[in-house]
Parts: sequence; C-alpha cells; structure tokens
Amino acid sequence: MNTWTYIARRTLYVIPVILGVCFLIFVLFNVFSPDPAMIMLGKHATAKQMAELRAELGLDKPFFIQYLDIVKASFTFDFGRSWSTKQEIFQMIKQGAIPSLTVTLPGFLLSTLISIAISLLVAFYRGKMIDKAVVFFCVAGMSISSLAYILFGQWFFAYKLGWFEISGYEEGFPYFIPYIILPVIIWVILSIGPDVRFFRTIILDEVYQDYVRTARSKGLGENHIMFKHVLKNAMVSIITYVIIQLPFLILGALLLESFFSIPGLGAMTLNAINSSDFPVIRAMTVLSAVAYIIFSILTDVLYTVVDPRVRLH
Amino acid sequence: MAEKLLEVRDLVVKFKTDRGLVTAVNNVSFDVFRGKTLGIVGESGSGKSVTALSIMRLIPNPPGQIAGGTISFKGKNLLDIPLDNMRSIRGNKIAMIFQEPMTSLNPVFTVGNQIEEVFKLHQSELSKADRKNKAIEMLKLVGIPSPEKRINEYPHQLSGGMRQRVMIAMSLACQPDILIADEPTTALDVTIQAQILELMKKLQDELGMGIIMITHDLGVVAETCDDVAVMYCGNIVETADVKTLFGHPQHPYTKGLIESIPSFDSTTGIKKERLPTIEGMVPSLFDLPKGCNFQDRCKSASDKCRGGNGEPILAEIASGHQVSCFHPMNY
Amino acid sequence: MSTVVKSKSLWKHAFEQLVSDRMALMSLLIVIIYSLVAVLSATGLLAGNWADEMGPSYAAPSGEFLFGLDIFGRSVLAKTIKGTEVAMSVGLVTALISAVIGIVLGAVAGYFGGKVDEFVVWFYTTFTSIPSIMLLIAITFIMGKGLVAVYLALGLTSWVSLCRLIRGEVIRHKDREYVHAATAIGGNDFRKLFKHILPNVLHIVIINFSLTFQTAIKSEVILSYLGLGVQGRPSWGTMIDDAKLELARGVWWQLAAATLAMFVVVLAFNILGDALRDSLDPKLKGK
Repeated sequence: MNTWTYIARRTLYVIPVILGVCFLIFVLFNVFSPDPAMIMLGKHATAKQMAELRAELGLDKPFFIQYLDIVKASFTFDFGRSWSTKQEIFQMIKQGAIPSLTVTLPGFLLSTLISIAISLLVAFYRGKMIDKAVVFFCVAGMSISSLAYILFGQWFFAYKLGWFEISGYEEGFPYFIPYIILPVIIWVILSIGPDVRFFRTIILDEVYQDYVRTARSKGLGENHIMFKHVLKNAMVSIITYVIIQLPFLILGALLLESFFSIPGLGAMTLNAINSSDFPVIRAMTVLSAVAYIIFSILTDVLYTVVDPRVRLH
Repeated sequence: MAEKLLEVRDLVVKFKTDRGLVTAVNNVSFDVFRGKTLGIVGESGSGKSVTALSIMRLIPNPPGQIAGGTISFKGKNLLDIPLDNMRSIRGNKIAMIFQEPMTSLNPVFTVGNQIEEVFKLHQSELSKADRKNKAIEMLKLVGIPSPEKRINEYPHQLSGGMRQRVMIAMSLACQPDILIADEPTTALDVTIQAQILELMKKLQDELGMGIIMITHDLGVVAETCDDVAVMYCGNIVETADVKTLFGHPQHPYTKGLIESIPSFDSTTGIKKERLPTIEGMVPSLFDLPKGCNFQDRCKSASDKCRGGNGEPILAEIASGHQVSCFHPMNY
Repeated sequence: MSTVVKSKSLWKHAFEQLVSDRMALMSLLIVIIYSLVAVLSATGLLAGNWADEMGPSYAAPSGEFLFGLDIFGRSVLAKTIKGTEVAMSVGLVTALISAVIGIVLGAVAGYFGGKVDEFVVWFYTTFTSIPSIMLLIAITFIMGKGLVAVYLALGLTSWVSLCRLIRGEVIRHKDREYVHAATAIGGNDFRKLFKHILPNVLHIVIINFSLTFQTAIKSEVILSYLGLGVQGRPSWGTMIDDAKLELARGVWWQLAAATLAMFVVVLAFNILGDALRDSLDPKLKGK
C-alpha cells in the first residue's frame, strides 16, 4: 500500500470517530444533562415560560434532529449562539483564539525545546548524579498541584515582587507581551516535568539499542552518537508526542487564562462552565475533538514519513 | 610465523551488580595472528562476549570495569591509551560485527550512509563521491547484488543475511587488522550461516586480517578457526590449535562440548543416534564453587577438585596445548 | 506450568527489589500512613471536630494552631486531615473504576479480536478525542456536584491508557503456547482469559493503578477550582481554591498545608509507581 492509499484510509476512519464523538457529546449534553431551561429560568418559572425557552433553544426538536445538528456543526463550525452572551459562538472562538495562542504557543515551544535539551543532557549523563537529581526534581515538581504553582507565582512574582503584570491583557503585538510573560513561565515550569521524563525515557530506550554499540565500534564519539544516531531515532516518538499536543494549544490554557484574565478560549470555556452555557461548552468540545482527530491523522502520516521502518498495512 | 597482532594477557573484567562485584573475565590470555582465526567458545555467561568487548574497550562502565591485564595491539597497550586514540582504532584497525544484524544497524539511516560514516571518520581525505563509490565497492565485495541500488535502502528492507553482509562490509571498510565477530551467524538460518562464514573466510584470504570468532557453536569453530580457546565461567579452561583440540580434548568440558555436536563423534566418527549433553547448569557467577568451577557437572571430579587445592591453573601439557584441569583426559 | 513458576519468581524478585529500595519502601510507608489517617478520619476518630470554631479568623500558625486557622476560625490541620480522607477515597475509587473498565474492555477486545476489538478501539478513540476536562465537566453536570460525581467523572475519564495496554498485552499473550495448552485440555474462553492471561498482565494493572491514583488526587483540585468538586466538606482542592482570595491578605497557611499534604502523598505514589515499574516490567530493567 502506498502512502496515499494509507492517508485516504486513515482519513476515512475519521467519519465513524466524528460520528461517535458527536454521539457522546449529544448523549452527555442533550440527553442526560439537567434541563437547561430550568437552570436558566430558575425553579419558579412557569411551564409556559419554560416551553417558550425550550423552543427558542431548539430543545423541543426530536433527539435525532438535535444529534444531526451537532454532526453538522462539527463540519460547518456553525455552533449557534451563546445562551449567556447571545453572541455567535464562532465569532467568540475567532476572537478568543489569538489571545490564547499568544500564551500557549510560546509556552509550548519554549517548554518543548528546553525539555528536549535537558533530556539529551541527562541521557548523556545517565545514571550519574545530575541525571538522578533532574529526574527527582521532575517527579517532585509534578507532585505539586498546578493550581498551587499559578497561585504562588502570581502572588509572589507579580503581587509581592511586582516583576510582572498581575493580570489583564492588551490586544496586538507588542502590547500583549508584558501580560503573557508570567503565564508563559508558569506554563514552561508546569510542562518541563512530564516532558523531560517522557523524552528522557524515549532517548534512554534508544541509548541501549544495539545500533549504538555498533556506532561505538565504528569509532564514533559519544556526542556524534547522541546527536546523530540516537536523536534521529528518538525523534520519531518525540514528534508524535509533540504534534498530538497541538490541538490542546487551540483549546487554550483554562487555568492560566482565568487567573491572569487573558480573554482567550480557556477563559471563555470557564465562563461557560460557570454559567452553564451549554452551546459554548459543546462547541469547544466539538472543536477540540475535531482538532484532535485531525492532528492524530497528521501524526500517523508524519510517522510513516519520518520512520522508514513503518510498513503500511 | 605470522605477525602477532594482538596479545591479551591476564585480562580481568569485573561487573558491579546489586548482589556485589562479579568477575566476568578472569585472567584470560591469548594471541591473535595475521591471517589466522582464533575461536573463543563457551556457553552464554562464560565471558566470551565480555572479552571481545574489552578489546574494543566497549564494556559499559558503570557497571563494568577492566580490572587488570594488558591488551597489546601491535605492541601498544590499548588499555593505556586515551579514549580519543582508541576511537581512531575502533572501526579502523580493529572492527567488530555482532550477533543481531537486525538491531545492530541503525534503522533510520540508509545502508550507504552507515558505511560512508566509517570513511568519513577514519579517511576524512575522501570526497563525498569517493565515499559513496567506496561504499558501493564494499557492498560488491561482500556479495550484495546491485549495490548501487541497495546503498539507498534502509536496513529493514534487507534480509537477515544481507544485513549481516552489510555489517561485514561496514566493519571491513577500512581494512582493519583485526575483525572481532561476536556470534555473527547465530541469528541466521543454517544455509545463510554457511554463506556468511564462507564469505568471512574468503575476505580473510584477500585482506589478511586476524579474526576473533566468538561462538557457542563448535561446528562453526571446526569450519573456520585455526586456534581455539574454550571459556567457562570467565576462565579459559583449554586452548589449542583446532586439530589438537578436536582430536585430543583434555578438559572434560571441552570433551562434552565436542560430543554434543550433531553428526560428529571424536572417537568413533559414527553419526550418533542421540546426542549426549553436559548435565547440570553453569554455576552462577555469584556463587562459584570452591575449587574447580566445573566440578558439579564433571564425571571425573574428585575430592581434589572440590576445594582445598583452589582452582586448577591453566598449564601447558603439550606444545601449544594448555588445559586447566586436575585430571586431564590424557592423550 | 512454566509460566506460573516464571511469574511467581518475577513477583518474588520484584518484591525483594522493592524492599531493598529504601525510597520505595519509605513511599509505601507514607501511602500506608495516609490511608490510616483517611480511615481514622472517616470513622470520626480523627479531625471529627474540623467544623468547630477554634479561635479568631485567620489566626496564623502557632504552637496552639499548628497550621493556623481559616476564615471561620477552623483548624487548618483538621481540615487537611479531613481532606486526606477525600483525596485517598477519590484516588482509590477512581483507580478502581478505571481498572475495572480498562481491564474488562481491554481484555475482551484483545482476546476476541474481530468486530468486538474494532468496536472497543473505536470507542476509546472516540473517547480520547474529547479532552478529558470537557468530559469531566459534562459528567459532573449530569451527576450534580459532590463526591460521587467526582469519583465517576475521574474514573470514567481515566481508563483508556490501561485499556490500550491490556489489549496489547492480551493480543501478545493469547497465541502463546501455554494458552494453546489450556485450550488443548479443554479450557473455555473465560477460564483462559482470567486464569491464564490476566495474571500475566497484572503488573501493568498495578503500575497503572498507582499512576491513576495520584493523577486523580491532582485532578480533584482542578475540579474544585472549577466549582465542580466536593461540597460542604473540606478537601485539598477546596483549600487550595480558597487560597486565591487569601494570599493577597498574607494568609498562606491554607495553601501551604494542602499543597504540602498533597505533595508528599503524590510524590510517594510517583516514586512507588516508578519502583513498581522498574521491578515488575523486565523490559525496563536496569534503566
């Protein structure tokens, strides 16, 4: 099978998965959820008011139609309007995407690069003191609640020391920069622990392979072996791990955005949760699921390109 | 007498483990001559591979450590020279091939790239085009059909035998003085095994290198080697030229090994119905018995072998024939 | 037979290695202590008076109040202990739910293959496509707020990785000789799966259990922040969440106490999980 047939087949598999995702979302939000009309109007609403609101929200339609609406939205991205702001959700998402990406993208790039560098270093010194210390710090760092990092960081560095803006955001380059520095730093600190651990394991898996011994027996130096032979093999897994995180960048940083008042998608989602704004939550769920599915296909395809061993079947 | 390339004397290699220090190679000595093949035979855990890796100074440290002895290559002790100098010897003057051609080649680089890398490292004066041509030449030398095409292929696109040929091409690229082959045919089919051994023999005739053949298979030894050292629990228990060893094995272990080769009986020459095996198991390096290491599996073991007198010492019993046994089998 | 012997010596060896690892042993001790505290708190023997007003609002840590008091003058130490009960129960129940779903789906998919396998793979692909935070939100919406919702939300969103691993292992094991041998002596599918295959993949379950346990403890904090956590009783999550208003007034002890309590047990689980992996998964031995 050639690459194109593989891509075609892989893409075709998206259909059942999207239908499944939509079904799950439908079941969770439309079938089992508490009656949104009740949530919005409170306990004392009359039956007539409730019925009107249900009609307005499209909740009186048969389940099957409601399900189809979700499926349709996952292709057209027409998610309707927010219950609380009455804005068109697609426009809200468009507005929120940029502020979100100004935090998540730099954070992601920095943490990935730093983590790969640290992992190569500790893999080089595997078993030595520095390796053990780094691994321990990663594990210890991961054992602290991410909320504690954000709370402490904001209070100490922004409030107490006044090094950074406590919260807020300004649109446009370069005005947003002062506002994103601290969130980005916290993002990096939060990501380094799990990233280094993962990359280190991947790299160490390679370091013990037979081909490394062969490379040594050829007379190659350790640096050359590490950066050419080992890294290229490890890259296969590293790329997979990195790419599959990309859809979550679009989703924004839920906690960071809300703490630092960054008007991104994460904060938008959080507001929606607090106000039981189902269409927005549903839209974000559909959007991130679709993004995830697209990127997982991308990963699989890239995998066949990067790794000559992958035989398509 | 052929030029002596390598002289290993009293080599000791120890490994640090959770259960303490173990001696994987204990006072091992042997010589390698130009154009000759030395076989090192033993079961897994006998220390034969560790010995081979020590010559390349490829013992992973930690946990391993060369604790004593000398390895003289053309009169220079390899254990004394700086690591950088050692690197310029590896793959250049002394090369090595391994048991698993499947995993010993880097899966994400082309065959050509991996051979050319050796030239890049040890013959930096060659141009890129030269390197490629020489890589094709090497592939041709080891009998790979249409090497111009194969050079751009990845290891997984080749069969096991082809891969081992590539390993051989890579190891012989710089025409080394010594080739260390660590179980080069164990992972291959029997018919391919014979082809690879024949190829090595042919290349040795052409290039004149000395070969150290590490194997557990006395059949391979009989086919390819000039001299043999039999290892057991980190010690050489018997060493002789191949004819003497097969004709007059002195150590009960050697005798047992020879008797367990299919269709070969040293005494009667008749194909046997059922192969005798050496009973018992190799003792753990963590608790070697007092006295002779082979005592528990040996039919002629006496009280002398069981403690008191220490380990038997490797001693010459005929010219070029050494054995470490309290009760050698006698001629 | 041979596999039983092999797996026995594997367990024995793993146990010996674990005991000889001082860090792992200490971690195990910490987990046991936390479990005891949780049980004592659940039976009311410990911190039963957490709701009582002990002194002035926001009294700082002192000899009298080791971890200080909260806004209502309640002992932060007692709240932390009460929070231990929530954390340990969340960890345990979540890990149990995820283990049951993961093992059953993974084993069934791996063993029967074909359409069943396709369905399970489709199901978890679908499931993982939705970010778990969204699933958490949806499930707590449906269940209403409270401890049971937290259990279910976390349990239902954390079984996929175990399911994948089990499926893979079962596929690897089902064509082994010992399973064929079981077929030859007339074992049925159920017996083969549970008697012969599952014991050989048990180590994955154990390693995964300790991982899910501590992830759940961490997730409870996030749920509390989102307002979807436990209600009407202290948890580390609600304590950390409270701190967002307290820090600016210089009240740090609630955050510190909850973070420290969580840090110690999560770290212990992390170290224990790593030690278990090292000793039970021979593939990774020596790294």
